[in-house]
Amino acid sequence: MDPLIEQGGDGLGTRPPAEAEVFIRVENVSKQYPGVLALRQVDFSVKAGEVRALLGANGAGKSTLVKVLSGAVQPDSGSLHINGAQVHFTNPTDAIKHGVATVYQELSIVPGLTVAENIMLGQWPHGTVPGSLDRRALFQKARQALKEFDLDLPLEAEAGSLTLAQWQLIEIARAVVHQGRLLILDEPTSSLSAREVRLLMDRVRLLAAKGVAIIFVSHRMQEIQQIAHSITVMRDGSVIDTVSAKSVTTHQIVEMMIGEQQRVRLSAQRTSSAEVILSVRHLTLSSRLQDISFDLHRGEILGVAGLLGSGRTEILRCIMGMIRPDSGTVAVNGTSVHRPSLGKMRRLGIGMTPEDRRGEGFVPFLSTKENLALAGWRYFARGGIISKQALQDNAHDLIARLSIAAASPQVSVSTLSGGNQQKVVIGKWLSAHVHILLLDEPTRGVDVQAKEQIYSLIQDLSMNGMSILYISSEMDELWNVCDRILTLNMGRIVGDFPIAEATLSNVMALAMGGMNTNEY
Amino acid sequence: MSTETKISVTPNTPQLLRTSAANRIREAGLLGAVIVVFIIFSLTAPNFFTIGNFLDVLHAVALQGIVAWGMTLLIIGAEIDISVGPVVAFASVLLAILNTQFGVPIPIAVLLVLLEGTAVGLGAGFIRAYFNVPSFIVTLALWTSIRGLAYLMTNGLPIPISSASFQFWGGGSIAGIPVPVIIMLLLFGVFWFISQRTVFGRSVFAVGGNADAARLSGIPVSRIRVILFGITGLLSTLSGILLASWLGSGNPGAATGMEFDVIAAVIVGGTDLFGGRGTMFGTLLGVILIGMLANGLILMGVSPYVQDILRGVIILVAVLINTLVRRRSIT
Repeated sequence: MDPLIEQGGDGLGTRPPAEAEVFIRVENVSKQYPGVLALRQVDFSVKAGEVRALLGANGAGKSTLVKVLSGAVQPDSGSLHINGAQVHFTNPTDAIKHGVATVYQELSIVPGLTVAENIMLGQWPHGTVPGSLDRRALFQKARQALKEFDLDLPLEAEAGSLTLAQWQLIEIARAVVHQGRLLILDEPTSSLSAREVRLLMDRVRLLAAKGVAIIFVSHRMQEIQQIAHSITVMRDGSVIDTVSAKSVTTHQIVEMMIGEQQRVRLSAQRTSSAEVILSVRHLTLSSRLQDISFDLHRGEILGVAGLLGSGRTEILRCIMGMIRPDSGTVAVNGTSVHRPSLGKMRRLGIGMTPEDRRGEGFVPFLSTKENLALAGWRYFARGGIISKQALQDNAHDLIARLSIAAASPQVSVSTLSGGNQQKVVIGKWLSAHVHILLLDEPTRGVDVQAKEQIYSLIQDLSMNGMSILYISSEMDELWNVCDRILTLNMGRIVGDFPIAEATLSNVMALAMGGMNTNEY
Repeated sequence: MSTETKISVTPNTPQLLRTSAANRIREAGLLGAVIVVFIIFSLTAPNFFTIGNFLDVLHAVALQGIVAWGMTLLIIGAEIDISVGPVVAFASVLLAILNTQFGVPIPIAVLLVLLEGTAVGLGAGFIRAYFNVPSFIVTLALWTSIRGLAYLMTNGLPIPISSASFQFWGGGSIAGIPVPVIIMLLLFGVFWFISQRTVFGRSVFAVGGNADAARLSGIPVSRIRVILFGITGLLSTLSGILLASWLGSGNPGAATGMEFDVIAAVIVGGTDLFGGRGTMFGTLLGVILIGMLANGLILMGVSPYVQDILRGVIILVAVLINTLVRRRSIT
């Protein structure tokens, strides 16, 4: 019997299921990664039919906890219980067998198969002819799964022709087919439009009403307050508290997320020039960006704060001409740029370091010195022929200036640590003599010491007149490094504060949205 | 449930219609191309528009077509097999040697050769799947070594097979239709069924489209890869047996470059070289288009070198059109 039908549900899941059984529970779970204790003796449980939001800053341990629950990671110590019985997951398939379904941000859809085949992936019914597929049963079961939560998807269509939101619904339908009794959604709404979010929320609520436990990793307080019964906040690998979603304000959540430290900004406040160097006006990009306008001043470090999917990367990519916005203008030094492109922006003195460092930032098998010259070959070549000496001098100069820990300019960049790779990517633009740098998550995957070095490097550069647009999902980092912070929420600028007027919790609360955010 | 919360997702059907329309446009376009080429040759090439010539066209592509069905599945599974030509030649040689030098009766020899071909294919697939060697490399190694083995076993000379009844399979006909053509069409039906209606066939699409998703859903990805190579090995060998029957000999130099004719037909037929998408019907049209062009150009007395050039142009144009149609349907 399908547990979804069995347990049924009379309400729409707005009331927390007070007397429901605990479905999954972890006790005293710890997980050590090299150099970091990702989980510290965590206790965590979710009841059948409960929608639990899981929040925490980067590195708080929420993704490790999710991985433990979904079988992708095995804890070093502690125990895992389902319906009160202890279980061990050695891989994700084990977890699926125990009714734990996880919808990751990278969806596992097969584009060339029909929607019905995707919903039933791995559970295709056999027909009477050996090896044959019973298409009637397949479609009937898929239709049944959709009916379970009142959803309409074109079952005969190729999945590749559907939208991202529909793909997520396919994954949820798959969880229903697998008789999922815990559904973990990892930032499910970050790439959806408002209408699609509403649709997804409705289905999640319906599943919960049928007794499925839901863990919802997200920082969008509006959505959390709409569907979650309870909120668990993590920080530094520990569970700080679990509170009722109804009674808590965004500010209280933010306080739990940032804790007592980090109240004092580490670096001194500076006054930057009034000269506008880069000016963005009315940038609009379908559902991703709405009327974005701001100025970057000479020598300023302007931070862009926002959750995943708030449009932070899209702003950068529109400025560089990698995405064509629906409308809006970009002006450099007061002159509007007609149809920006990467080549044009580089000639105007703008460089960008991408979020995906390994994929887009450098060429792994080329040497450090060649990577350092990648954006400005013309400074090292005459008539297309490279001067080995110029290349070598440039590399020595930058390795010293940025304190890149490379044994020699000859070593390939793939052998360097993340922090040093990032310095090479920044150095690449210094070789090209840019005066504006757009940095997308420059400290992602970088150790603490290298982070500090990158912060001071960025501040040194700005002292020497470099203007910097700094995107980060780590709000405390923005707060420590930047002179001014723009806050984005769902593609809109909702805050623009000089650092002297901002507080970390205000910036975070604005980015997370929700009720009770305008009270300061 | 109130009607208010029932939000239908079908408002997105315009996009959906566009894509399934795109699939139809692609196949209809290819069918259109086949018809246009057919009409042009019927009007210009002497003796093209006769039933005898249609059968000649099909007969000429039958051996490629047989392998192309398996190749379509393999490419949908995001793999490639370039060992076809040498495997065909080796099968013909092995059959001839078994029959003439060891006196093995033809039916048993055929069975043994089919077993050998399947085993070699499965072996290649095993190395691909379990040692994670790229399929291009595995089959490249097979491509060069098995051709070498065929030459070694024959000293480079064809070995005649003197069995009149055996010639029926490659050269005979039933009701005027050449036997290889009948076999090709029967196998087309079998493989259409496999690709559309069997758990194995649909799993191939899953493995080729998103191997990680397939694995996480409990589909035996490695086993499916092994079987795919077994299928192309089996079909190539069958093709080699029919060739030996047709030529009346085992020939180590036969079927040179056949792998690329087969892959070309599959690609012209709209199968995505990166896996996950493709149809048997498209491959059938691709096989017929390429066969008809060769035939028509010969009848018109065009130089075989020009044929090679034209075939290259057609492959490129077909792939460009497929890419454009697909891109338009996605954005």
